[in-house]
Amino acid sequence: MLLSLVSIEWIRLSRRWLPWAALLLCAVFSGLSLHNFYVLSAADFASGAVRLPGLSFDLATALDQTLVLGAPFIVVFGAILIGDDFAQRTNQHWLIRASRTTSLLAKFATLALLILAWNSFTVLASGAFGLGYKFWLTGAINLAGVNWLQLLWALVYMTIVCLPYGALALLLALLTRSTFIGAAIGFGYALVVENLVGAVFARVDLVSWLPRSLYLSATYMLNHIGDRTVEVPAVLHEPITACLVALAYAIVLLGLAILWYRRQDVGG
Amino acid sequence: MSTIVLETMQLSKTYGRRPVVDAIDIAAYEGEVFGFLGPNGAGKTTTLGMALGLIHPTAGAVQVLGEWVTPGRTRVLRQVGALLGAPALVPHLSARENLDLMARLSPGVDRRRIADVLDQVGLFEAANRKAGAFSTGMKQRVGLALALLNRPRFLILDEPTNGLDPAGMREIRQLIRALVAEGTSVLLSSHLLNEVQQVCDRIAVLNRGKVVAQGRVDDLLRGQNPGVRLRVPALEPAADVLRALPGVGSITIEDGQLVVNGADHRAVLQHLLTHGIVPTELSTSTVDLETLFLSVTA
Repeated sequence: MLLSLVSIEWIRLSRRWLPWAALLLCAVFSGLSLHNFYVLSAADFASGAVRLPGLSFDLATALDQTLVLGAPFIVVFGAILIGDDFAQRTNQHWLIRASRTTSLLAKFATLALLILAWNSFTVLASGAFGLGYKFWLTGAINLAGVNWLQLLWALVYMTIVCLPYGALALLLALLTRSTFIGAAIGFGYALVVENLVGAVFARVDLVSWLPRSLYLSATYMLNHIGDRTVEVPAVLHEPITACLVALAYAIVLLGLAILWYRRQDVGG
Repeated sequence: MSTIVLETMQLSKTYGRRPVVDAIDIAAYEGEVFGFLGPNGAGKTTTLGMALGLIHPTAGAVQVLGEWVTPGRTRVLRQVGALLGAPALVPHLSARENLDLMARLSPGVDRRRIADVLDQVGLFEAANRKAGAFSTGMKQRVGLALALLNRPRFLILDEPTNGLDPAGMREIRQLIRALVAEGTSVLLSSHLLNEVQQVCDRIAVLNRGKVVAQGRVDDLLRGQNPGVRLRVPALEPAADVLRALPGVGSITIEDGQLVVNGADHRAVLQHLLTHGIVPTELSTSTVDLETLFLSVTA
């Protein structure tokens, strides 16, 4: 039943234009980020002052920045998954056939898949851009220096650190029964509150427990794609700790959403 | 009587302090069309929502096909089809795709079944058009198709003919009769009393959250005594004579005629003739479901 519901949610979401527009935007953003870096460093590359980075750099840089666009989009898609059910009253179909817990887990799994797809697409887009740019520059394609296993693992942990946003979006949309209000509150939190709190209280220990800080911690593991290790600043948690805490946040928020959904009246 | 397909036991729902459904007991039986009537806001959809595990009862309980149903216990509902209120559709998907989504939750439902159901509700030609672009009547047909998809043992239809033209309404009535003939039990909630009278075997009438009438349509209508209108040479003496007739309820004078309620017209005539009064005109008014509905919900 869970897999059937996931397939249903995936079809409902993927048949909209918005996810595809978001992926396209993500590709453009990844490409432009790398483009800016290469253009600004072009003189250094030409003089030999800076060595032309390998593919691992392109991939890690792109994944490092997915949250900039990712968090707002995750919040919007989470709100759509729940809010549309209330607006279209389609939840009655799923709830007559499946339990509320299964239905909500399916939505969360769909969101997790979407985040994974988002990260994978980012990797593909940035990889293609990096390879293309360096082929144009050097006339050669160089796939060396990439730890592919670490790249696959990176897709997993960068998805995990995004999950709290997904669970928060589901909870907010359930509480408000509205795509728009749920997305607006989530959007406000992800874009304004977190960034503002993060910037104003950067030195306060508590800030390190914000989902945004956990994401930042995890990005330090991205260096492993190029078989490098970089020390994590003291203000942030160790990446593995950050991933586990993010997972715990997601589970707690999802648990709250399930509890609420089980108590909620639907329709009538 | 056969097996009960839907039974509520003192089922209640209160929002804040306002009781929307107030300790109702209704029972629908296998193989019948059960009409569920009531004015707007009577609590019909809330009752059906509780029967479908969508709404938590404040008190009481509901059984469907012999199993208890709550929002946490909906397993038996896999044998139920439901169209609750306006059809719940994904507007950016076609009618066929909407059915395909539902088919994923219904074991044994394949593409052939989807095509059959689309044909059954008269939507085969428009199956690939986006549901959001459909007229109200066409959306209603998709909603009906969704409810029929899993070959339900028990079908709950809340205002199924909403937005349909007269020909469409007749098609749905015929469809309901055909389904019942095939063994499906149907609960039909509708405002269209003529429709209910034509299709339903038994009804329950809900008013302000309470069941105010329940039973076989014929029995309920029989219980409502028809009025007898009489034109007699002298109104008052005839009225006095009729007051002595057992069973007579009210006697009023309207437009120069006596209107006698509560007695059979043959008994009224016989009684008058026995007393030497010969009416110059006698007519009876039949009681239909609308009269019954208005009298019990007034």
